[in-house]
Amino acid sequence: MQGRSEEFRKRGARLIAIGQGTGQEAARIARLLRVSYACYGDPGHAAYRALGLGRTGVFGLTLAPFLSDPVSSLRNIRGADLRAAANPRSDVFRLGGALVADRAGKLRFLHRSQSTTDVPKTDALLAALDGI
Amino acid sequence: MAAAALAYAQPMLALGDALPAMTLLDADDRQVSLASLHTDAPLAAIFLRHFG
Repeated sequence: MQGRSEEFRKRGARLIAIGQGTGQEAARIARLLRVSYACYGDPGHAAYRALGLGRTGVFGLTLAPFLSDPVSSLRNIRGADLRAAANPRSDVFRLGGALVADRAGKLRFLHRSQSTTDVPKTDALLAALDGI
Repeated sequence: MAAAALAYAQPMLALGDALPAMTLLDADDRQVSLASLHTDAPLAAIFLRHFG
């Protein structure tokens, strides 16, 4: 997503990331990972729950990703930054997702990750923005 | 069991629904409403799996 943030700007959209820690922790991670867009914190995970983002289990966190998508799993491990993961407020079982909302606040795109390797596609978010 | 059943019975957000009111924390840990982030521009938000 980071490498394509300019495409969101060109569409006049605001791109943000939301993490499970505090706002200060999210900003620290953004600096570590050199993310150019704003990062916000949701330490109580209320926004995650409000959107219905799910949780996986021990099997889903460990063995299942390697069985279902070994290439992506290895790529995730190679790209992981453990400094960014060191947050006691993080729920390691919580799955991520993405949304696109228009100016009126209507949901135009929603992706609820079904597994740890199920990552929202940047092209899908951009297509949703093009449809607004 | 009853609580779990109630949780599943809650309607899930669907496309076209209004975003529920949510509050996030900015880099200075000030509260920011999600609504304030989409009033002047469409919003694309990525929910990170566990980082940060």
